[in-house]
Amino acid sequence: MIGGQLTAFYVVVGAYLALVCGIGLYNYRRASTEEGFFAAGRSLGPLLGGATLMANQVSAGATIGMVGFHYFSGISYAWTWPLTWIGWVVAALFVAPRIRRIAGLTLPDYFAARFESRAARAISAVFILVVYAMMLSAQYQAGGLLFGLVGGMAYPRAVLLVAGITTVYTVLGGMYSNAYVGLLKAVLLLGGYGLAVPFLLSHVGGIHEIGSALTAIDPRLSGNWFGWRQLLAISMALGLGLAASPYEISAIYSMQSRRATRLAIGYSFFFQACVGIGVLLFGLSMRVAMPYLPQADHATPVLGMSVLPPAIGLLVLLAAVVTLTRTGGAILLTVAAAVSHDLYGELLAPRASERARVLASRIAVVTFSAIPVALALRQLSLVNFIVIWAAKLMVSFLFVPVVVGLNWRGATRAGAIASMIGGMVACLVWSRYGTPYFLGLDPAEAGVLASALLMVAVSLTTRPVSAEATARFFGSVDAG
Amino acid sequence: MNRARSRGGRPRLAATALAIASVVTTTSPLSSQGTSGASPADVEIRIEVDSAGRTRVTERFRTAADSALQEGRYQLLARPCAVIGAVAIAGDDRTAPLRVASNDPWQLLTDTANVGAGASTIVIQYQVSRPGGGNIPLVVPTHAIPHRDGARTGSIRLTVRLPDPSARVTFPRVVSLPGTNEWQGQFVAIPSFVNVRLSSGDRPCDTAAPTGRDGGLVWRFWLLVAILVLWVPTYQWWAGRTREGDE
Repeated sequence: MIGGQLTAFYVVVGAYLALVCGIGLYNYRRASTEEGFFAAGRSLGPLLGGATLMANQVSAGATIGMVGFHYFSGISYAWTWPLTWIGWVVAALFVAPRIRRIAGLTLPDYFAARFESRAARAISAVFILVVYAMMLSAQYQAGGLLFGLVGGMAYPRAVLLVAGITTVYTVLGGMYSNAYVGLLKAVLLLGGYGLAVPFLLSHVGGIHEIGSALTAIDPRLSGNWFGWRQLLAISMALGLGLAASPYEISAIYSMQSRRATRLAIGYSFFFQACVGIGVLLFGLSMRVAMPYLPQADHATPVLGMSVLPPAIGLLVLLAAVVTLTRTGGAILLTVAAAVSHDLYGELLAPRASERARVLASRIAVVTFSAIPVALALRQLSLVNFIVIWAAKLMVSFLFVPVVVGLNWRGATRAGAIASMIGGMVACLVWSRYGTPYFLGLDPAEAGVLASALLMVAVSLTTRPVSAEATARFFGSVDAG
Repeated sequence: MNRARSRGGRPRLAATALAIASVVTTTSPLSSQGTSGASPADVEIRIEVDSAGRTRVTERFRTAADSALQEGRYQLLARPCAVIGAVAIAGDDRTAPLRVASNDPWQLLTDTANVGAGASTIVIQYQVSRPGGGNIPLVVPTHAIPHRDGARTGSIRLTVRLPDPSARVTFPRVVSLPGTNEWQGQFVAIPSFVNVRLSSGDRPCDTAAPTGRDGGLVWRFWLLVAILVLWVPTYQWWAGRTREGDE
């Protein structure tokens, strides 16, 4: 990118950061309580909530990683959008109504309340830390590629810059900033993609022209690069993982009501559909326009800095920056909550003041932000492969204890703990020794299956939780 | 007391934000620089268009920066209204035509005479005839050109010389060089085509019937769009009719 345009890019990114800092400072007092910092005071309505849910899901894995995925593998991965949405319906039907019955802040709060178990809280918090370190490394990697290419920086320096931006963003704002920036992210994505897609199609050609050019390169690009078996496994990991995803549950906690939550999920579908079609056309068009990029994950940065007209390109690049900082922020918030609220506040120092907990959360953000940098510097794989891998781990240890625990009275403390550990171990073992499809199972499926079997088997043979704990989740719902 | 601490914390937080912003600022160039001042290019592509729409394309590759060029395999995205003449490849002191095979809409070009083998520079030249403006296909090696990490610009420089000041390049993004009819940009990958508009009255010719099989991309794409479009109102209708008490 040449000088004037590069300066414009940094000015816009700087203005965005100033805006985020402004929102954060404006809400600093509101975010000085845990409820304010992590749950936005439970004030989000359907539209803001929908933007928040979308903004959580549409990470740099989508705006950079998925464009790169479509660039190298064609259209087939796009089928994961509708398949993944099944997970949202599961969340709307089986998770959101009951989990909002506790005034929780984090997913481990649910484990503590439902299973009356400090161990379940601690295990879930630690597992979340591990998985989200990987998820955050994908954001940093995507950001490093973007800033490295656009800004002409060495990759390690670009990763450090992105980590710094994300950390400042999160420390200042908490969930209040995340919610408003989620709306900004939705507007930028809709606006930028709405302008970029017609430009690309008018120059590269229509869908038929793109299809014929891609088919000649490799017929799988316009057909099935990924088979249905793979797509179902990936979608299950992403979709069911969403239903029990810690940051989506934090967002659900942040909403005004159950009805607002359900409507918000619908709004998020609209935003996601637009983004999904946009990233698909970006990836396919770029494969025709520049068939040999140095890396598939370069597709979005190159699109923004070398292909689109300057103003539209700037919008697309800014949308990518907002996406990775916003999702990175959501992940950091979840991690901060796991450390400060669940490990520090509830287990290590239960008498800590509200102020001490918020301070601990901000320290946790800064500290934890450094760990994924090391992973990002190694560039383990394409950005989207890292996201998928993290999602598989997450669904393996969280889906069953959350969804079954919320909908089956018989789930016990020991069952939940066995389910989490067993699911995680099964997924790891399958990934190491069982791919592809040992016993016909993907690692995520093996993890969920092991998790479910252990949940049922152990729960049936161990002492149930107290009637009070069960009543909090089932009493009035079943009565009504 | 808490409020006082909170106020005291704001400047510190703002200072942190400013520190990060200063890192960002110091990494950006302070003066606007044209691409001519950028890092040296490993690939130079020059396109010269005359007022009749005849176009001459010259692509110059430094093989020291890209050993994969020795393989001598290239491709070109044919466009319905762009008639491409013979494509010649020149090594240090030899010239030969590239052998052409069709893989519609791409043309596969091979250096069967091994002209590029051992040469320090490879030059590919061809002419494109187009009625009016439109797309100019570019010959692209069938591999990625190496990119230097941390380079401010890509290693591929594209220069387009147009017949008059009112003509312009619309794809990919290039900038007009002051005082000339030339447009220039620097890229990390070679674009498969360049689009030019010779004057405001031009009607690009690229409206002819497309060629090649789409491989099912068209129906797959529209089916996907239909599912996504139908899903949203269906779900929202269900969510909206659910009226349950809460909080």
